Amino acid sequence: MFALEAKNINKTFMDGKNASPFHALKDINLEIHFGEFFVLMGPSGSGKSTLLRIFAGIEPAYTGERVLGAGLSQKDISFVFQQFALLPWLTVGENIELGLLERETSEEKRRERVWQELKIFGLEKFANHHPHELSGGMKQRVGIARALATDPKIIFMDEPFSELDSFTGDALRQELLDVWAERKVTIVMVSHNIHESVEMADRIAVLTKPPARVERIIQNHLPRPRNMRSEEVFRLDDELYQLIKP
Amino acid sequence: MRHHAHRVPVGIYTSSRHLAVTAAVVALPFFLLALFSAYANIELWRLSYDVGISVLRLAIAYFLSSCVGWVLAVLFYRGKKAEWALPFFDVLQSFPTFAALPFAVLVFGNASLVVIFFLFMIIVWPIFFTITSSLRLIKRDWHEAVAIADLRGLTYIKKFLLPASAPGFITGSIIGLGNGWEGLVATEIIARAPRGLGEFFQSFSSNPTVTAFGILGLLALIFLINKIIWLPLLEWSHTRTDD
Repeated sequence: MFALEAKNINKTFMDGKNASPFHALKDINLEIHFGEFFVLMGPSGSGKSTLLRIFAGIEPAYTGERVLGAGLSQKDISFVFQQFALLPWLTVGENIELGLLERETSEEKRRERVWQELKIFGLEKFANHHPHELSGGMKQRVGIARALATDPKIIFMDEPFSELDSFTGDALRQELLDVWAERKVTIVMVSHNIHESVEMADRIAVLTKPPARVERIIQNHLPRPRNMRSEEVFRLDDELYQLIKP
Repeated sequence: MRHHAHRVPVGIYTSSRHLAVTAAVVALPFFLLALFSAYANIELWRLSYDVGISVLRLAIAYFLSSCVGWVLAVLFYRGKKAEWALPFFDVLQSFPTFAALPFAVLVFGNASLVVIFFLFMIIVWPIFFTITSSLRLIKRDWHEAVAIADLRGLTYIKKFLLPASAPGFITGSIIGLGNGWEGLVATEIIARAPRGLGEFFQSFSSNPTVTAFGILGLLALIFLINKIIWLPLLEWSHTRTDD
């Protein structure tokens, strides 16, 4: 049972008038299973973010096929952005409500739903604040709460922790893992950070340099919660490092 | 930042003293108007009427410009259309409006309509271009977040397009109304529009003192409108678009 299937996805950028076309993604074939934590890694500029956007349905220009799993539609998809992408004129509460506006007609239910997410992420006091009043960690909490508010089946995440300091990142990773275990949602995340990927992923797909293909898919069966100082973890770290190093 | 010891009814004022000073400043032009009419021996109601009718023409032109400028900006700010539309509008806006004024008077006669139409032509371009630049500055992330949220129709306009265009709209209003005030009196005189500041200045053109004080009063009015309405709005809009 797959939540998302990619068949022969190719992406070419036609930037500029005279520049030659840039072949970013080449024949990407992937299956992502329901409920799994899937991580995309690869060298800088290997098109991970582009592939993630194609998967999420917000990058329409590509060839090949993107198939959502049985019973899934675009409504079941959410996205967490590297730079949070909170709308600055909306309050924290209104940002979390954003995805519910077209999905849930009852204002009361929307408010209830927003309040639940605010509580889960410890944001109750900030409900009426605007994004520019928050720290980076708080902003990404709002970003994740917004993504979860619509009860998505698949959440796509584009390096969600890379803008945060390491302590904030650690805390937020743990919160995300708890939420993931509890809600049985499928997560597809792009990451630059090997250790983070080993901590979180069930499977890690490593892309090559452009034109990017899937070089390898690494299974990570280590039991959770993972001991991040164990020998197996370091072995996986090394294996990934050898694959990705420039 | 959001909690103040002295709560005042209107959000942009930080204290009751601020509100009081603002109210006094708002009253100042009316006081000047009364003083001026007494000095120049003009009936106050006549002067107020002329000022009022000019302001009304300007307001109507401004309202039309805002609607048309916003709709044009939203239609043409991105995509393939923007590649030809923006240079095209740039050529249009460089057309000297006053050159067409005598022709328009010939067709429409000496009516308020001509003044409103010409003020519209003057005000619409700065509003269009500043809103366009605001919209072009929207981050790709924001577009994507809105696509994921699946905002459509009125919700899309209310929660995304309007707030995103607000800073540009405010800047455009300041420039546009500045040009508008400048064009107002001239247009009214050239078009020989009935009543308004144009006729007022023309009928006192032989009296330099009255004319000078009149212009001074007009400048004070423009300055105060900027200071009281537009600048606080501009500042406020920036706190709502910086993330």
